[in-house]
Amino acid sequence: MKSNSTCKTGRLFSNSFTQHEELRITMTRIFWLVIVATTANISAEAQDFTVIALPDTQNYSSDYPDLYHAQTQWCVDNLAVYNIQFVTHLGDVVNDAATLYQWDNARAAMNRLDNGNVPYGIAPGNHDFLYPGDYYDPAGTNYLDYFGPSYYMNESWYMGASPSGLSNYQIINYSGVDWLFLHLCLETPAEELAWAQTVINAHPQSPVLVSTHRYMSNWYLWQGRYQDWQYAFESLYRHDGIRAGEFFNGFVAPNRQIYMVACGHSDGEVRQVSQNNAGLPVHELLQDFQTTYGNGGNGWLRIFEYRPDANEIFVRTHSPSLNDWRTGDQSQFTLHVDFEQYVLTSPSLRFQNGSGEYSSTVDTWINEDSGGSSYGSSSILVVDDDTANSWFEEYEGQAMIRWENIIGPIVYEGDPTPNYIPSNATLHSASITLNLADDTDLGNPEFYVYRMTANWDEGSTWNSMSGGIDVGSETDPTRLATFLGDNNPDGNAWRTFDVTPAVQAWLGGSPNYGICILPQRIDFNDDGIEIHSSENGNVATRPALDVAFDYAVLNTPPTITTPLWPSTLTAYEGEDVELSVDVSEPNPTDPIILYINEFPVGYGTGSGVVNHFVLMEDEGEYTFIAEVADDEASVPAGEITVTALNANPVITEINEDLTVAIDEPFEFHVIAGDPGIYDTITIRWDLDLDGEYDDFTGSAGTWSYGEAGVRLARAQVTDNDGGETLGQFSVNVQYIFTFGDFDRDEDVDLDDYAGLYTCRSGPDVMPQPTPPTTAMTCLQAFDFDSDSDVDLADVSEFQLQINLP
Amino acid sequence: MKATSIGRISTFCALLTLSVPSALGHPGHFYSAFHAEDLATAYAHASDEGKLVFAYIKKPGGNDCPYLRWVTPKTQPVLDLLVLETIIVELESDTPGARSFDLTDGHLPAILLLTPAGEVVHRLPGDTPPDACRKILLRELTGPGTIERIQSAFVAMGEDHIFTRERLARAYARNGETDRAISAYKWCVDHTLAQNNASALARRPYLFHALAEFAKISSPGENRSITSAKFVDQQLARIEHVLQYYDDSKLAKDYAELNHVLSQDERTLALFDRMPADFRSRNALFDRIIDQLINAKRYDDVLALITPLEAFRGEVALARRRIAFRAAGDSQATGRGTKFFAMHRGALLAEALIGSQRNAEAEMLLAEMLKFDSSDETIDTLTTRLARVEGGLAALESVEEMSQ
Repeated sequence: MKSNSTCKTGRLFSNSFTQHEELRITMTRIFWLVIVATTANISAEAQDFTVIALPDTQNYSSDYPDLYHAQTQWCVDNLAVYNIQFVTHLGDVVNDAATLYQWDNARAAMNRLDNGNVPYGIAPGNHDFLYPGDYYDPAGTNYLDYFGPSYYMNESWYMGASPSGLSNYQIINYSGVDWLFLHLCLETPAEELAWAQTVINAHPQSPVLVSTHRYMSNWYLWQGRYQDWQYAFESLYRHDGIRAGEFFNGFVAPNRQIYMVACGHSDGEVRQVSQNNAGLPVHELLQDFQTTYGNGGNGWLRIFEYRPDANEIFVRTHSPSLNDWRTGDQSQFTLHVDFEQYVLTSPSLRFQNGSGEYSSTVDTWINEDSGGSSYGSSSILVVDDDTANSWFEEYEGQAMIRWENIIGPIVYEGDPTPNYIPSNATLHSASITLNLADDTDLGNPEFYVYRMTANWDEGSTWNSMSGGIDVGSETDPTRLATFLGDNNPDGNAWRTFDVTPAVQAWLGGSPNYGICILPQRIDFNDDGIEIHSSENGNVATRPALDVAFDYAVLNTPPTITTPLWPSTLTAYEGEDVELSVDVSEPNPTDPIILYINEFPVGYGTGSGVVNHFVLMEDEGEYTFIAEVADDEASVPAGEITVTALNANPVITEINEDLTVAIDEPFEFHVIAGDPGIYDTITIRWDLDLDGEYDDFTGSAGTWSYGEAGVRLARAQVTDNDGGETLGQFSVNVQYIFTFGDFDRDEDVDLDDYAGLYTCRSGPDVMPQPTPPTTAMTCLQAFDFDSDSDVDLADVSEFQLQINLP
Repeated sequence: MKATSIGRISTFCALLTLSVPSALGHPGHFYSAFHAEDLATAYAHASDEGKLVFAYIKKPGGNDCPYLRWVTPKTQPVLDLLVLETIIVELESDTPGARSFDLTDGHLPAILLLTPAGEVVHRLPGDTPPDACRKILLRELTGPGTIERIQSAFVAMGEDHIFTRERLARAYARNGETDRAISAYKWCVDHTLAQNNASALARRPYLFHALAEFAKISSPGENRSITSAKFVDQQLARIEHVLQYYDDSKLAKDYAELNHVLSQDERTLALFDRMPADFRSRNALFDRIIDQLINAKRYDDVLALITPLEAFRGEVALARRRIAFRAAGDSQATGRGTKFFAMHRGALLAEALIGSQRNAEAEMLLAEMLKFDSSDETIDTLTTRLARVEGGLAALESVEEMSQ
C-alpha cells in the first residue's frame, strides 16, 4: 500500500470490522472482474422476502415498553409468515439517553430479535445522544454500551461498524444476492460517510438500503427532505452533522446501489422519489408515529415486502399491539425497484488472441509420430493417443497452450482498468474454453489437463521436449481437469474446464509455462481431437482463459486542482464568505472530506468543488487552513486569511422632513441596527444645531424649537467598534399666524389696530401698506373672510375679537 | 469534472406526497404554518391564522433570506417573531408572485411585510440588520389591530389552539394590557403543565421565555394586586411544586432557563436542593447551577451529575466546530460552543476534581485543556480556579511542565 506521510488511514479505517470483513476492508477499493457472465440475476432468482422497519421507539422505551416488546415479538412470530429476513431500526431508540432504564427496556425488547435469530441494525437518532445540559456526548456512550459493535461481533450478518461505532452495516445473503443494510448515524458526519462509501465500494453487487434517523420532515406546508431553511428552526443536533441536502447530493446520489433511504424523527408518513446520478429512482421514506398516533406511537411499524421478481417493494403499516393496519396511500403503497439496475454489471476479462487487445497466447502440439516436427503455426492442436492410427504402437499427439502477460503490476486509483490480473489479486476462478475442430468419432476417450512446469515454445517438438510430456516430469503431478472427446450433445464443440490452481500458482510466483492437454491412452484403435488453435481464423473459437478475481486498487491521494479560495478576501461583519477547494480525485467513488482548521466541514464523492460557508461574526483577520482527505490520505489544500471589516450601523428608518410651529413638540425617532453579530449600537442626537450629539440619547424622543427657521435634527448611530452612521431630517419651524395678531406678539389687542389702519383697503382691492409692511402680511393678519382684501367685513371681525363696539 | 459529482447543487425531487392529511410541524411549531413555498399559499394561511406575510424577494439565483441562513443572537429573536406572527415566503423576483409587486427601483433583495390581501405594510431592504428588522416588526405587530387579527385565528384554528393563545398573550403584553396578558398566559401555563398536549409541551420553552420577558416589564394591571412579575413568580412556584414530585427533565430544563433569563439562577439551585436526590431531572438543571455549586465548593454535587472528561470533550467538540464555521474574536463570543465557554467549563470541572481528590482525572482534564488551548487567558482562568483548592496550582504546574 502506498505510503503517505499525511495518510489518515488510521482515522478513517481504524474501525471495528468483524472477522468477516477485516481482510477486505484493509484494501482501498475492490473491483470485481468476472469473465463469464456471473452478474447476479436478481429478478430471475430471488424469492420474495420481508424487511421490517421500526421507527422511533423512544416513547416505548420510556413509557410503553409493552408496545416495543409487541413489535419485536411480532417480528419473531411472523418470521416464517412474512419470510422476514431483516429488521431496521430508524433511531431514537430511547427518549433520554442518560436514563439507563430506558436503554434496559430497549435492550430487552430487541433481545427478542436476538433470541429469535432475526438480524437487525440500528441507526442512532438524536435522542440516543446526550446534549448540552448534562453534557454533550457526540460519542453516544450509552448507545454504544447497549447496541455497539461489540454486541454483534459474533453475528454472521453483522459486517462491521464505523470507527466511531455509531454507523454499521449488515449483509443478508438471500436467493444468491447480498442485500446490504447500511445504518448511518444521525446527520451522518463526513467521516462516517467516508466509511460508508468504503462499505459500498467493497460490495458493488449489493443493493443498498440506507437507514438514517433525521432526513425527511413532515412539517406544516413542507413534507420532504429537510431543506436548508428548516435548519434555522431546527438546527443540526450534531456538531459535525451534515444537512439532508448534502447527504443526498454528496452521498446518496453518487451511489448507484442505494435504492431507498428510510428515516424517522419527524412525526408522520411522507414519501418521495428522487433520482440518483445514474438516473435511477431513489425512494425516500419517512415513517414516525411517536407523537400524534397515541401511546407514543401505538406500535406502528413498517413492512417492506421485497418482490424482486416483480421489481417492487410492497409497503404496509401494521401495529401488532392494535392488531390493525393503516391503509391510506401514505401507509400502504408499492415502490418500483428494478434491483438489477442498482448493482454494477461485472466487467469481463478474457484472455484470447484477437479478443480485445490481447494477443499473447502461445500454442502448439507435438507429435510422437513425427518427433522433429513443430506445429506452432498450425491452426489446430491435435491431441490423440495415436496420431498414426497404428495397430501396433501408440504415437501420441500432445497440445500445449500458454497465455502470456496475464499477470501485471498493482493498480492505483487513476490507472486505467487493467487488462491483466494485478499481482495483488485474489483469484476466485479460472477456466479454459476450447473449441474442437474435430471431436472423437470412435470411442469416447478422456483428455487430461496439467499445468506445465517445463518451458516450451511454438518451435518445440516431440524430441525437443525429451520425448514428449511426461506427467510429473514436465508437468505438475496434479491433474487440473478432464474432458471427453465426443461432442455431447452433437454439435457442442465447446469444452470448458477449471484451471484455478494453475492460475493461482502463476499468481503466486510459479513460472507460467501454460498447460498441456494429454490424451487418454487406450489400446487398440480410437480417435483423438483437434482443437482450434490461436492461429485459427475465427477468433471466437481460439483457446480462451477466463479469470474471475478481485483486487485492491491502491489509493492515490486527491490532487488539489485549485487550492482554497474565498469568495472575497475582504468582507464585512455579518456577511458570510464561501471557501472553496477544487479537488481532482482519480477514483470517482472515493469519498472526499474538506477540513477547515482541522474540522470536517464538507463532503462529496469523487472530483469537483467542495465548498464551505463561514459567517464573519465580528471584525478581525481570520485564517483558514484547508485539508482534503479521501478514504486513506489527506493533502494540504491551501491557507487563506480573510479580513472582516467592521460594518457601520445601518439606519433603516428616520423621520421624514416635517413642519412644526414654534415651541410645538414633535416626536423624532430612528430605527437602526448593526450587521455585526455582537455589535451594539448607541444613538445620540444633535437637535440644537451645536454640532454636538449631546441633546438626547436613544432611538426616540420629543423636541421643540423656540424660533422659526429650518433646522436639521441629526442622529449619530455608533457601534462599539468605532462604526458610525449619521442620519438627519429637517424641521421647518414656522410662526403660525393668528388672525388679528399684526404685531405677532401672540395676542390680538389694540396694539394691532394701527396695523389694521395701514392695511385697510376696499372690497376686492389688495392692501397697499407702507413698506416694510407687505400686502401678504396684511392679508395674513386681517383677511378674516379670505377674500383677498381687508375691507369692512374684516374690520368688523377684528373688532369682535378685541371686543370693540 | 467540476462540481458535478460533489453535490451542492440542489437536485430536483419529484414529490410523490400526494396528500398529507395531518398538519404537523416542527415540535416547536405544531399545527401552525410559518413557511410557504409560494405567495398564494402564504396568503391563504396568513388569512386563516391571522398573520402577516413576510416575503423575501431575491434576484434569480440569489441567496436565501439571511435570517434563515445563519442563526445568531440577533436573528433568533426575529425568527421567533416571524414564526409567531407571519408566514415566511422566499421568492425569486422573476416568479409570478414577486412580479405582482413594484420592484422597478431594482433594490433587491427586498423584504415585504404584507397583509393576507396582498397590501404592502412595510418594505425593507433585504440586507436590513436583523435587530432593525425586529424593531419594525414589533411596531407593526403592536396595537389594537393586532389583537383582533390574532383572535380571528380562533375561527380556523379553534379556541384551544395553544399557539394562538400564546400569540395573544404576547400581543396583550406588548400592548400593555397586563390583565389580559396574565389571563392568556395563565391559560397557556395551565395547558403546558397538564402534560397531555404535545403542542403545549413543544411550545413550553418559547412560552417560558416570553414569560420571563413579561416579568421584566413588571407592569401592574388594572387589578393592582398583581403585576406581571408577581404573576410569573406564582407560575414559577407552581412549576417548582410539580418538579418536587415529578421527575420531569424537560420541565426542569425549561424552568432553569426561565430563571436564567430572569437572572435568578439561585432560585434554580434552591429547587435543586429540594428535589429528591434520585430524580434524573436534577441533571437538567446542571448548566444553570454549576457555577454556584463550584463557588460553594459543592464538588461532590457537581461530580454526581456528570462525567467531567466527557463533559469537557463535548464542549471542545462544539468549540472546534465554531472555529470552522464562525469567525469572531474570543472576547465577543462567549456562549456555549465557544472556546471561552469550553475553557471556563473545563476550569470549573478541574477545580471540582481536585477539590474531590480525583487528581488523576484532573490532570488528564488539564492536559486536554492545555492541548486545546494553552493561551495566557486559559492559564489565568485555571490559575484563578485552582487557587481555590489545595494542590490545585501544583497540579496545574505539573501538567504545564509535562505539556512542554
